[in-house]
Amino acid sequence: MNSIIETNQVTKEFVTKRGFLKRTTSTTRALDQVNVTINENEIFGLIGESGSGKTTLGLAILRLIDLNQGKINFFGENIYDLKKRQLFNFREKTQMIFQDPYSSLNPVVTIYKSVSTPLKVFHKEMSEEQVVDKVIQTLETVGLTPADQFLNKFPSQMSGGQRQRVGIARAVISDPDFIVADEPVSMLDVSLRADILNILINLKLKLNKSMMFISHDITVTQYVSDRIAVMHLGQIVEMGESGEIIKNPLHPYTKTLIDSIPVPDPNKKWNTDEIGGQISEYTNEGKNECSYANKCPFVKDVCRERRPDFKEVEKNHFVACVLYD
Amino acid sequence: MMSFPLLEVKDISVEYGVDGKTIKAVNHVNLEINKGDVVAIVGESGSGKSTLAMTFLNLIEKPGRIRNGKVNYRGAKGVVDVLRMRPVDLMRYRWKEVSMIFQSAMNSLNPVMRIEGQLRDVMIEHGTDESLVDAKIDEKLKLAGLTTSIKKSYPHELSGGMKQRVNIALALACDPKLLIADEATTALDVVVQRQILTRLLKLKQDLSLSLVFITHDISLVANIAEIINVMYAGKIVERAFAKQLFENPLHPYTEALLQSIPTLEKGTAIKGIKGTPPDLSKEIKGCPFADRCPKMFDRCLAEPPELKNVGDNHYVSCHLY
Amino acid sequence: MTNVGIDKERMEAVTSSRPTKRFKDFMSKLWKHRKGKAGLIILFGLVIFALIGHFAAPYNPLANNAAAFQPPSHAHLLGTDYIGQDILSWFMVGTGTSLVVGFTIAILSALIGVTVGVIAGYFGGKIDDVLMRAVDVLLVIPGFPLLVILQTFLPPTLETTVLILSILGWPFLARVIRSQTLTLKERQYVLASKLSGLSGMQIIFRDIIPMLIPIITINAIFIAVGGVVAQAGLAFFGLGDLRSVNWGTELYYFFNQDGIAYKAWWWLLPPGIGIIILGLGANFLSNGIFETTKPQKGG
Repeated sequence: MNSIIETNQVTKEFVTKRGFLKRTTSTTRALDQVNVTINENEIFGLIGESGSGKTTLGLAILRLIDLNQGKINFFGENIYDLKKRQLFNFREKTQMIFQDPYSSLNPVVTIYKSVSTPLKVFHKEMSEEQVVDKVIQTLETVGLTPADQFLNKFPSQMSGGQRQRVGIARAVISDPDFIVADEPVSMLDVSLRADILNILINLKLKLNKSMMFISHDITVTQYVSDRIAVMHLGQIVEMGESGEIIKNPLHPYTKTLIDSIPVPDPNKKWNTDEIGGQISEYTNEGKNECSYANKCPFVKDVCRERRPDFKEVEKNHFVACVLYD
Repeated sequence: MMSFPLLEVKDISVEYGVDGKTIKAVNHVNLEINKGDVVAIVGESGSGKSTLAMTFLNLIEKPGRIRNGKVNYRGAKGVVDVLRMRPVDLMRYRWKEVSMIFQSAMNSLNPVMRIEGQLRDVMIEHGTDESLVDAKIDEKLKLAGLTTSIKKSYPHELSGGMKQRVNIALALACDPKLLIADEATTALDVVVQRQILTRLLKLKQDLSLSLVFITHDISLVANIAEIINVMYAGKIVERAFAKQLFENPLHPYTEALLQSIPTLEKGTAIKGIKGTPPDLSKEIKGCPFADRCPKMFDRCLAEPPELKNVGDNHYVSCHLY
Repeated sequence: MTNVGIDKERMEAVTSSRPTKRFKDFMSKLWKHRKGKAGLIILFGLVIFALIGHFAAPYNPLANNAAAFQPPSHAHLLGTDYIGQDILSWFMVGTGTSLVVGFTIAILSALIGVTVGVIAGYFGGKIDDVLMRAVDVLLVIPGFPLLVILQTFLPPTLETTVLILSILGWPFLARVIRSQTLTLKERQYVLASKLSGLSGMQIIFRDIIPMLIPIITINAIFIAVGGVVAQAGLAFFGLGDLRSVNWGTELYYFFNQDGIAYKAWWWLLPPGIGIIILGLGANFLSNGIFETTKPQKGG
């Protein structure tokens, strides 16, 4: 399988200034030496809690933020080296689906205008008729039928589920190779999520798209993804086939995450023993220790002395934890 | 189930008047909560679940109004209708008998006051003996799973999960009998969510509290609740013990909802529910789910179904039964 | 997938201009709003009054063929001034001049303010620093004294007055627009437009400025009123073009040509009331715009 995205030691730091005259600075690593590979025609799931850096990685892969270190290859070419013209071509080949169906569409722009924009920018050779045709076709692909009815609507005249479909239509209309879907269903009602997830799967199956699916919800992620990476404080702590990650989680953090997922099974009542140590907020300050050491129930001295290597423990199953050295 | 209920909601209806339209958010709902019950009310956005919960505390404010119905609470002095309480009694009732944790509560702590002060205010306001307050603050924080040292902190120094625990401590401040959690963990990460919910379940055990969970997450209630109410378009469409509801869902909406959520088993396809919930500002003649229901027949459009017991305390509001 | 043929009707539907419809919707909403309606009526009334004055004032305001200091009479509804000019005519024509002055200042200030604010807010970085420091400098200089100094040294024409007031009018608007832009550019649809390949300027015109129109209008209305008052104030001090017929010069002559001594209240009241009515109308209208365009909750 060919890789479409390859990140190499990607690091992004955010500096916050505080105190009198903003002289105290503290640095947080949102991405800390991230190495992931996303294959062609694959949905790559990225899970993590809020603040784990998963959205930052999505933005980095689309070159929407600058990095402190590392490079990201798109079909073997570092996107951070692209010049203006090449960047324009890269924009044509990549797209994003957003979390919030209410904020991702301009309220005063019609659906037709929103969805047709990428075509009009990237395919200036198309006639207005061709554009209209393509918009209608795309809206029907995402289940907005009859599409005619939606062309002239404004976002406020549509439901959240319909808006999210418009967002997907806008992302796929210019036929990109790679799409980042950032929490695309987390703001939708449960009964509407399934259809959106199935549309995303069909983008892969029928249109051969590759995708990075970012979510905090493991159940949803494993439903759509071929492989899953687990992120914790800016680091990838585990990566593998999605079924494997769920059935056989190796990293203590992944185990806790999976244990905490609500499952629709009344026979699995939660007992009243509390799990997973203390809750308090930590940030990654780039120290030379395991990012999970402060919370890990299996923590050893060595965890605080160096970073665990990210290595292949079983076939295609990577983990960064000293327990598997 | 035999004892007289702690809280009994009788035929309650709530309307909102918005832009000249009247939205029937809650429509003739009956509900009982017994001492020691863990009850869940599950529904999607606009189902009326939060509005229903607000009536338990008589919290409906303009532009909403309670159209009809009663909320009977059984306190020390016998049964009283919460909706007809004098303001001074209502204030007592809201912390000492029933209290509530909201989703947004995380951000509703006073930012310029130490945690300790906020707890103290609530306790003294509700007549706790001043000499006991300090000991009680420590006790409540421990109950919520916090170390007592955080009482000197300000809200911004705490994480989301800790703030929500402070809210639990606040809700427990006056030893209520019933605790309502309205999407209390929706904004939190799964690990923290589990920690907080198991803490609430433990409190239920230790303090013989009754708990009501309001949530959109039907998977979640399977793990925590004993009795589950499914709400749709302002009505309870199905009520059953958790086991029955998940193993044998009767209402087509419940069934469709359960089919729309992914599980950890690979390979089970999920499908969404077609269509959108009905416009609650319009008169609905038949069953509110009729136009999305795969099993719809003529009667569903003509008359609304009643919520009835079909055996083993399994209630369903559907003409199929 | 169905291959749908394109009929003319649909092509027209998707390409027809929508802004006019939105403007109509907005106006009908404003018309239903009590204060908005009052503001529209007052300001529209002033404009009509000025137009009548322009085309059909009872006398030439500069013709001095009547007796001086006549109180209101049938021949001169608002009496006459120190050299027998008809005050009603002077006031009518003066209303026109004052409105044009206010309107021009508002347009010029808004143009500069919006350009500076949006560019500083959207592009940020060095551009932002430079532009905002310039704004700071203009904001900290005490406005009226500077006006007086500038007007003293520059040629005393109405045009220079308008230009000076425009240059001093925009900094506050620029600040407001900049901070709004900072919020707007974080909306996800701006990122979506970026990903759709739109350039910065295209995004500004499509995703930023349309959202700012209510706030620009409200600010422009206040700049206009401020402009009228400031011009009148300058004229009152004898600065600017004193041959121009407007509310300010009317006040100037009242105070400098024995208006007080003759107790010629009919001379003083019209410009004063004019300014009050303009301010009131502007306030009502901006209130109406604010309340009809503020974002509503939910979808």
